[in-house]
Amino acid sequence: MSGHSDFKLFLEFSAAITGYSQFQLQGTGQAELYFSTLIEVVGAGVVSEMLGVYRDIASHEYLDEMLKQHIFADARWGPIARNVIKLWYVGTWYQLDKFPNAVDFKRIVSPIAYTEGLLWRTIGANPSGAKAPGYGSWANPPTIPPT
Amino acid sequence: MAYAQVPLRNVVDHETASKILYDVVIVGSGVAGAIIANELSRNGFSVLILEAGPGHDFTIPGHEKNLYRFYSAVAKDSNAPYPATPNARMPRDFETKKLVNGAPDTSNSYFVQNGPFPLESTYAKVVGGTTMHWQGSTPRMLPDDFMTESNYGQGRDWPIGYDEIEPYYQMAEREMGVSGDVESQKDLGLRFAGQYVYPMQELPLSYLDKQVSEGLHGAQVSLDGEIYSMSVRTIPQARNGVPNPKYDEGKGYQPVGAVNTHQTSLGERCQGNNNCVPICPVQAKYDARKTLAKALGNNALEKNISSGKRIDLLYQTVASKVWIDPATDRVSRISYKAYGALQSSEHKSGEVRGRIFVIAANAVETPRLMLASGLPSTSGLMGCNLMDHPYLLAWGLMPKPAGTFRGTQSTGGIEELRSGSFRRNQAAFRVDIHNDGWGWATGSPYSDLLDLVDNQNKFSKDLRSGLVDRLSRQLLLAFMVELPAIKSNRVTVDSRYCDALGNERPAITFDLPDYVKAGLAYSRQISRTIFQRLGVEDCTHYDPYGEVGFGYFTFAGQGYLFRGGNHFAGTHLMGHSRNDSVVNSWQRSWDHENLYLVGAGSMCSIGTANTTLTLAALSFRSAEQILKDLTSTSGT
Amino acid sequence: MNLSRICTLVDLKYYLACALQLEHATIPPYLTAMYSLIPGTNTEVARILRVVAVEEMLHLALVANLLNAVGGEPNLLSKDFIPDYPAYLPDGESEFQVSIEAFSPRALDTFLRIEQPSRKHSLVEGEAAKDRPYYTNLRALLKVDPNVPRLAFDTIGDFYEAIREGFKYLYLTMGPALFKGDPARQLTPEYYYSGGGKLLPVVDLRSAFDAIQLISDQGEGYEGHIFGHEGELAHYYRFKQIQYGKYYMKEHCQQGHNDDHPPTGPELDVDFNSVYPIKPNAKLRDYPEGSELRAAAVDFAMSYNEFLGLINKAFNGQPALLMESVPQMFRLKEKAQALVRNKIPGMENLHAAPIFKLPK
Repeated sequence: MSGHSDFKLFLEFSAAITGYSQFQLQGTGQAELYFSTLIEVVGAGVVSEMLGVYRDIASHEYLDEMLKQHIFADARWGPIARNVIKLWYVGTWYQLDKFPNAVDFKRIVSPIAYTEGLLWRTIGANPSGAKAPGYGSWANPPTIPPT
Repeated sequence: MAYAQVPLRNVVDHETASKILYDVVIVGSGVAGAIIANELSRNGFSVLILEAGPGHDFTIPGHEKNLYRFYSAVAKDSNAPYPATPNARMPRDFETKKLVNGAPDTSNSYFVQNGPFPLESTYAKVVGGTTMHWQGSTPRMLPDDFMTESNYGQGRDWPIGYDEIEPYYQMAEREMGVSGDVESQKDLGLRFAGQYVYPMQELPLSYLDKQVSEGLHGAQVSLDGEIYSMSVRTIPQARNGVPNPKYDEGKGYQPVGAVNTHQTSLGERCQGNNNCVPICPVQAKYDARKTLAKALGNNALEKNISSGKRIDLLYQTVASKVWIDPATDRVSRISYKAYGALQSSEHKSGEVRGRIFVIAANAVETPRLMLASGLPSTSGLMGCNLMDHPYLLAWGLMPKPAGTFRGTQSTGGIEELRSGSFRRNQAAFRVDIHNDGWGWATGSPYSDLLDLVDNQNKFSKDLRSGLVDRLSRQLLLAFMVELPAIKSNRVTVDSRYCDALGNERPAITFDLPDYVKAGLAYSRQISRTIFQRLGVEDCTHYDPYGEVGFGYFTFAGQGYLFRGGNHFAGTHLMGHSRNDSVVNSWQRSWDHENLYLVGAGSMCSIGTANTTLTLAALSFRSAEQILKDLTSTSGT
Repeated sequence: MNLSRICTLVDLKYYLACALQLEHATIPPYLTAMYSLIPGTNTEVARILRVVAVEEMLHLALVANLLNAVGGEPNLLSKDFIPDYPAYLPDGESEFQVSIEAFSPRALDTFLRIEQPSRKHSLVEGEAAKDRPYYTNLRALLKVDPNVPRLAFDTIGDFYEAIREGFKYLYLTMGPALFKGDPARQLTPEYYYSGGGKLLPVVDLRSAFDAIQLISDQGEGYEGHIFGHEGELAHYYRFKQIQYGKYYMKEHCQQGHNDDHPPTGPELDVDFNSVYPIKPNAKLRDYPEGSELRAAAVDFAMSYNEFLGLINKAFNGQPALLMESVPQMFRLKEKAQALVRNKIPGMENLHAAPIFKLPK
């Protein structure tokens, strides 16, 4: 998957919508799984098309604004992009209902995907049941990573 | 720390076991059964334990499989980690539904819910029982709690008092490795013998607790003419912390590590996984397998080897009927149904025999088995007086990030209102400050993520700061409210409703008296006071039509919602005679002298204490009596 | 007079300082092997590596106790304390080098050599020691007169045997005055958890022997036996289990059983392919200047040094700080895992690896 021509673009896109760097995203070890999950549910063609839209705005000075206009507000791309955010944040694929197929159902895409969810590190915490911070660390103020 | 290593040579097959006359047969491998099994087998008696659930998780890979099952579960309920089987079903809280037009829910949920309130409480069926997913809070009951009828005209008195149980509390605290601070517990009116300290030092309060504590500083409320101050103190809990060198007159305490077969895991001091319920990944939390590991180790004792006395465990073996010898009124045998594959109801039936029988299947399953065996007891109280702790949740946002979602699930609580003269009129309560946010109430943090992404259209850095704002400030107060024994709250069986093996399912009839509703309503009032004091944005709302709307009720014109507490008790309570109770103070059946019904079902009240510590203490006490019974009849 | 043995308190302190360095030198390789495992795979291997690494931390603390007991001052912060991997172990080891590398049959082989049970009587004394090829290595570490022949060791167990002899000898000459260290500097059991073995305070000869015994037992087994004194499986045999893909059964192991008796228990899953292919002994220069990868590697190294700094304080009069090192260790793991999941730009399918020591 990592050799897939769209994979690199998927990572860039993911970084733009999650607020985490490509290094951090790769650091979860889940990038390829999320990319393949996405393709599996919505199809390689759709993914490629959406990433193409992203590529065209990627170097724009006001990228966030462009993302809102061309991705999030788009009836086709918005739901997919929001699902990609959720994948990264809680390792969960939420049912879209737009791509009727056997794999579009709510699920945690792998046990490790859950433990690598970005949500918890965002608030300086650990996903329940994994990556524990160590005895007594909870007595200190949280270390919330700067954005 | 000591490895809780399980010897692998403890496997007995059903055929062999059925040929042995065991000194004691125990139904249930939870904390009560495990304690009694260990006490008896280490004293040279043979023991057979029957466990209805699967038992593959003495190994680390087995435990890990449970952990990964939890990781993968979309619904992370209390039983999510444990293998489910229709042959030994576990109640699942998500199965609970609002009753339609007040008619009983006999559908797919394990419990038949007669109402008026369906009860969403759960327990586990797996080796180690419900201690596998308990939170590990181990407050003692207050001396007052043992005599609520005399003192407040509520519920039932125990036939024994706090001081008789105190030494057994100490044994239970040793067995489970309790971390806590005796001094702050003494403030509540608890008496501790001599220079007693808990085996381990108290777990540090969370940063969130400390913020609440600072905000509360000096807060007082007036109730029934008395003034109560409110402060945050640590919760005693059965979780590996820092051993107290002063314990045991300066001998200290050696914590017990992870249960495993090949020394592949150390077991740890609590790491703050924030996941006590439903599974502690590192086994820092006590579960009954730690006691079972010791018990099974007794097979290696010289005296047991030479006398041929074994301790055996049969899992996936569901006790289905208790047989009474009509000539003696003694239990003669117990029938079981043993299944192989989890998803197939194919099974073999058989019987096991013992000199003494102990049913320790929990306060729902024990009366279920007795009633299904046609044994409602002389008093007719088998299954009656079902208690649980109804919880009222209140939640809000702290003024600034408080580091929520870190630490063990609860480290601090507010306990001053556990007793007082007000108990004549309204139920007492204890408050847990939850370190795991609003999860219990709202489904956080997932619900917050979905709201921010789908409704507030946040992404990238805005999403990150939005999450910090929404999650790290969360405060959830859980008010555990006492529920006295009321005969009409009960467990029954109905032959129309059976499980895959043909065993009758438990039917629950449950209501809240006004006494308790008043306590729940007052809890809400106190939560407002606390939030006002802390400057917390109150986000509490009780939705009668929501997913958990089945717990909604109105009281004095206001709407409230209670949640189940998983603290089943009272269903074979102890008393002074066969006419007023099911068991005596040793938990021995009045009707059948070689039968003990042990567990929270024997408790006459539960006050505002989680039930496990007290039922563990009672188990040690019963073990002493069973030893006496066995010794006095050992010639026969 | 036997110059080759520990004869003075200064000798003993040197040896113990060396032991600190030795115990520590095994930790980065064990940790890195553990970090390289793909989560969800090799979970039993991960646990075994973790148990061993955690017990090496215990040994480090025990050596600190030994050193503090005789009035020494543990120092984990000297500039050569962290080896430049690949490195020979600082006990005079001469036959093999230890690398920072992914979990692999080769790495496992090295680990087995590290924990190799003592063959006893392999101490080479006097002039003969001088002929051992890497003897100079130890000599340099001990900062002894290069012309004075001392000892060379084949195994870590032999090295500790020499320390034990040293304690015994000095106690005969000095008596209880040997243990003149401040007892308040001792690390006590409440600060540390381990599956087997306790963090024993060292206050007299008996407790010194106990501490040394525990270190040897956990490492190579009690006199080479599979299960140690307290019934604990020795590190050497823990690793052997990985090699065999099978667990030892205590019931099947008798006293006297050793390497010649393969494990007889259930299978243990080992998957050498489910490992991130990290660059062995990676250096900072492997990571592009200005890249986030490089910054993360620097961050890891700095955090590791902070971690050592914290332990150093714990070893020097603030024992309670040892508790805080655990959360730091957990954070290190998170940082390392992010590194090993990123490829190194320009290096064909090689992944990044943690660096423990920054270039000067």
